[in-house]
Amino acid sequence: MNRVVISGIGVVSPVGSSLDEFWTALVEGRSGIGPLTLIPTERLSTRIAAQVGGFDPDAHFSPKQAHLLDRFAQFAVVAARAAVRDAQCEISEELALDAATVVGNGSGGQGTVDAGYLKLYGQNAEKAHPLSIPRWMVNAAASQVSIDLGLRGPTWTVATACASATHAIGQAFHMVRNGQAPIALAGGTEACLTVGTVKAWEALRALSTDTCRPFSRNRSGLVIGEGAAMFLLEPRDRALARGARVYAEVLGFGMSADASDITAADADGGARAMRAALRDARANPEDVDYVNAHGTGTILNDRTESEALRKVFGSHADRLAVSSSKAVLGHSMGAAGALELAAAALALQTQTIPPTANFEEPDPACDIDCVPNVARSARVRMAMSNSFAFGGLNAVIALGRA
Amino acid sequence: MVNSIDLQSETGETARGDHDVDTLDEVKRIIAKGLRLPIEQLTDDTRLEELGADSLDIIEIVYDLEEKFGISITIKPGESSLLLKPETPGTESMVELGTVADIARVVQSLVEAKSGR
Repeated sequence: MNRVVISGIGVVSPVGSSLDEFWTALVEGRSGIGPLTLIPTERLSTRIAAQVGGFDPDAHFSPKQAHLLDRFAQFAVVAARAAVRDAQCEISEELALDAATVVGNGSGGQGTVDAGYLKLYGQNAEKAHPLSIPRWMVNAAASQVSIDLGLRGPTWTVATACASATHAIGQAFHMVRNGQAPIALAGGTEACLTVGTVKAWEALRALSTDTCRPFSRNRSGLVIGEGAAMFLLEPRDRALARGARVYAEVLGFGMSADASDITAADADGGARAMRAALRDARANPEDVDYVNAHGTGTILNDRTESEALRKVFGSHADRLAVSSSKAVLGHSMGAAGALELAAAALALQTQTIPPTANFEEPDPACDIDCVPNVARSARVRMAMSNSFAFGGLNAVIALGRA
Repeated sequence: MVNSIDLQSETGETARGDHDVDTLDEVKRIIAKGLRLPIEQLTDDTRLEELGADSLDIIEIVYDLEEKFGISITIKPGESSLLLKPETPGTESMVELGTVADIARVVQSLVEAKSGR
């Protein structure tokens, strides 16, 4: 069994697409939530989002490639290239032949879907655009990453809503650990800010109209975000041999299903996924110093997750730092787990715990230390990243110091 | 990669006829846009494959032609694995699309068939 490390990280985020900008905003608690300008908002109650501002496809792609890739696939390719660059990893022909590509995504090319249906139903167009399917298919991001980087090993997409990226990275981690792939590019991507998608979220009564305040008693719901993060996972021995800079070691991955409600999370399900990750890491709850929470800023998530943390960590929860990055990044659905794992990895590397931004008022029902508003220098031996998806599908990754 | 495509109207009737100048210009404009090339690079005798068009380029150009002229064109899949539409009965006689002028001619005849000229 290989020990597996993260040696490259690439992000496309609402607070910048360099790791430096991304991490600085998280540590300073500077929110990427702002006016929703990507789409017309006349028919929406929601006027805010955490959108990736100033993303120019022409800066990254040939006109032909830009035309063929929906925004969600563009994000994934840009993040994947950045991860490889960051790792300074030469991917030889031989390595590429077996390299794995695993990309989490919630809803495919929603921009393409929305524009297509507007024409078809709204404007009575006779035909759909011929590139509709290659642009919107949920596996397009994984395929385009594999095409762009020439990675020809096991490649697939994981779609478990808001846990997609965490499931994707977890499965890639296991493949590299077991020697089924010599390296893996894994992460998640999402670009679902369309009128149709926002309307659908509004109908669920889950969206905030002001901002996202996880674990704060005056929370008002979640804010939709977008972006991507990709990681280069490789065996620790290989990374050390080539003198790579290593962010963190991936120690464990756990999954579970609530098997209860399609939307409301269940504390037992979340707790079982955290325990499974600890078991996979051969670690004890007391070894963990930081948890990057799912922390959506909805009352159901925040309270259930707090309860789940108590179940797993018991009295150690009093010494555990827990923060949500969603006040800064919004909720980027299928990309969330990847962006948040980047935060957890950087917390380990820098021994700094990013805060829960926008925190205003303690919620007695959230009995955790959510690191309100101000980052903290602290000893971080192990960090965990939680993703609890609609549909009751939970995924947790445990990281250790490099 | 589609090396040549065959067009026929959706009734299965072979489309023939002379193109007029406006149609030819518009067809050139659409092909140039579809292949992201300057229009000057196209002559009446240019063949799409010479311009490096792949199967996705061709279906998109055909789509743009349909939109522009309000016509319906059936593509015979040929080598393309993306186009799975089975051959329909009555498609025995087909016009092979080679040059820009050929395409304009097909478009023109479909436009005329539509307007009953």
